[in-house]
Order: sequence, then C-alpha cells, then structure tokens
Amino acid sequence: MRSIVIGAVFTGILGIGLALAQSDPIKERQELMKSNGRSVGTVTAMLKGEKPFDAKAAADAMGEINGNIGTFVTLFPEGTETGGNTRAKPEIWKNKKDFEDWGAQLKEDTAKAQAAAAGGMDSVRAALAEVGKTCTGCHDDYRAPEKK
Amino acid sequence: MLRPLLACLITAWLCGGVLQASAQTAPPASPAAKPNIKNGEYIFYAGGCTSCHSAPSSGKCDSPRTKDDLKLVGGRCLKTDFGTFYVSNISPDRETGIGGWSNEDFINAMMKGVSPRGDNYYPAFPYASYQRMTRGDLLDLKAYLDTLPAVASKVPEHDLSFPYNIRSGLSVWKGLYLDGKTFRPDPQKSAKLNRGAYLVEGPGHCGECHTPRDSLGGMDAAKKLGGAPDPEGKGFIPNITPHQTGIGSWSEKDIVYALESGLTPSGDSMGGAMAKVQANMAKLTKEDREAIAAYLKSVPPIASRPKT
Repeated sequence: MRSIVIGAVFTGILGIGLALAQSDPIKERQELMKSNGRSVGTVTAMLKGEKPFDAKAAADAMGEINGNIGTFVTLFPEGTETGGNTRAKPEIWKNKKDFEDWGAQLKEDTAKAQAAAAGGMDSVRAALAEVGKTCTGCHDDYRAPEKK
Repeated sequence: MLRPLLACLITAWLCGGVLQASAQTAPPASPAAKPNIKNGEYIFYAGGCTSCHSAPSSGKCDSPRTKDDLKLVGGRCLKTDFGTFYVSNISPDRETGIGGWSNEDFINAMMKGVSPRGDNYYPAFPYASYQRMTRGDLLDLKAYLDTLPAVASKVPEHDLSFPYNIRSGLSVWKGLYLDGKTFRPDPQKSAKLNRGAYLVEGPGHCGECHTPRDSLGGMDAAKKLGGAPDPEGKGFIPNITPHQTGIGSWSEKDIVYALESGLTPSGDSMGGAMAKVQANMAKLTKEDREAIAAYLKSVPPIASRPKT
C-alpha cells in the first residue's frame, strides 16, 4: 500500500515536472523578446549602413514582430510574476488592459513599418522610430531594469 | 577607524559654512554681447534640462515620463540614499521660478552651485559638469529659458537625512569636486574629439549618472563613464567606455544610431532616464552625435561588473 502511495506521488511530481517543461511562459516570452530584438537589429543594421538595404528582409523582420506580439502579451498568466530572471514588473498584472494595449500599439506600428519598407530607407527609418517609441514606452512601465 | 573618519567628515561638513563665506565672488560682468537664443535652445537640448525640470506626467513624482517639455515647473522627485530631492522650478516665473535672476545669478548657479541668496545647491543639480560649459553657451541658454512659459508652482523642500540636510556642509564637497575650470580644447586632438568631449563632460553631463561616485558622493575621475549603481536604486547604469564590459563592441555608428533612435545594436530599447536623454540627443545635429560617439570611443576603457 505504502509503495503504491509513494509511487503515485512520484508519478504526480513527474507529471507536474513534464507539464512545466512543456509550458514555460517566462522562457517563451523571453525568447520572443530576444527574437524581436534580432528583428529590429536586422533593420537597424541597414539603416546604419552596415548591411545593404533590402526592402524584403526589412519588411519580413517587421512582419516577424507583427506576427508574434499578439501571443507575447498572453504569456503572462498568474503565477509567472517571479522566477526565471524575469524582469516583468508586477504592474503588468495590475494593468493587464493597458499592457495589452501596448501590444496592440506595437502590432499597428510594425504593420506600418512593414508597409514602409517598400518606400525605401528614409521611410523605414521614420516608421522604425515609431516602433522604438512604443518599445520604450512599454518597457518604462512594465520592464524592470537589469538586476544589480 | 571608520568612526573617527566619519566624525571628522561630519565636523568638516558642519563647519563648511565658514569656508563658504569666503568661497564665492562673482567675476565682473563683461559688457553683454547679444545672446544667441537659437544656440540657447540647442544647448537646452544638449543639456537635457527638460528631463528633470519638466513636471512628471502622472501623479507620481518619480514617473519616468514628462508632461510638457517646455514648462519647467519642477516638482519631480529623486529618491536617493541621502533622502528625497525635489527638482526646482526654472521657468521664468518671478516668484517661484528663476524669472528674477540676472545673468550673473544664472552663471553662479550653473558654475558654482550657488543660489542668488548665496545658498549652496545640492549636487543632484549637476553643476560639477556644468562648470565646464562656456560662458557664451550659458548666457545663450539663459536667454532661451527666458522665452519659455512662466509657471507659478512652489516645489517642496528637499527631504534629506542628517547631516546632508545642513546645506553649508556642501562647501566641503565643493572644495573637493569643483575646480571652476571651463572646458579647454586639447590642441593635440581633433576638433571633432574636442567637441564630443565638451558635450559629454559639460552640458551633456553624462558622467553624473554613468560615472561611479566615491565615498563622498563625487564623480570618481579614475572610473570615468565606467558605469554605476543607479542612485535611485533601480539597477545599474551602463558602462559607456570602450571596454568589453561597456560598449566596446559598439561601433561609432552604433552609438550615433542609438542616440538618434533609442535602439541599441541588439535591437533593445534604451530605458528609464536614458529614454528622455536620448530624445534630447536626437534633436542635436548628426555631426554632434558623431562627435559624442568618437569621444566615447576614445576614453580609457574601464572594467565594470560583467554584462548580464
């Protein structure tokens, strides 16, 4: 009897462990933001003259962010306020609506930037400036500074 | 060992008032050339005056956002280990702002950290950097500030702990960290590097945040721009020297673009107080951003805590 109970408990723990391994919203949202950083970096490299301007690559990079930001804002379920070196501020859970509005704003900005790519460097430069303002605005309110 | 030292410092702090009396005399007013208000406006952005002196956008006195960049009503709070500082009203209101100030009052405030009444300002107001500015730039800046809207608004007194609440003690601090030397171009270096150095060390006052402070709260010259704990306790202010723990991997173009756009080479956004600084830097000429970048790449590399 005892061994069955212990066995059941172990199986239970294993099960929870597996479930966590499958779904780790903190890691997922961090990976998405890293990917978004790389997408922005793709475009800024062109604007800085480090890479030749490529309208399609620029549009794709903006499209990448546009496609994942809707998912990103759903990756903050209750219970993921701390852990995993998260820099998410508690305000996210207090002002969910506002946080999601920032996501919607970024979706709009990146759609515009995606379309702007066809217009050449200067048009992308202006559109990316708007994307950047949204990044900063949301980070100011909802992302804590790097730890000391 | 530590305790006698502390007692000694506190004594020096309290006695500072005696030194203060002899320390301040204004230079004779030279016949005034007509100020260049356009240059004053430019210096206003190079100096980022509005980042601290405009009102915070929300009810919170430490909100990172500003309300109206040209209404310099003050009231923003800086919460530090010494206590809470409240930023002053520098709009041209005669009662609560600086509308009644003469040119010499303004020069004394910016270069000597002294009010028209002879009181010491706390160095949360970065006069240790502004003392490097040229008299011409300062007077142009004053002329520009005079054109901005006057707003009557009384700011709370600083709320500081003992002994820092004794203003006369600041004379000691000033003896250590104010040398009154206006920036002098180095003839060995290019005009571009000198311009960058002036903007960074003078009006830009980059070191006020990016240079660590020594035990008496002055900028540690040996670790210039090497990164520092945030005085408001919100993390670590980046090392901006060309060291691998700083921005050694950034090219000059990266720096120029980051100051223009607020986006770092990794595609991240500049955050917190730097977002406001960057918005001001974006208003400078590209040549000046390039000069700043060239200068930052030329300063001695300093090792700081590793990047996370």
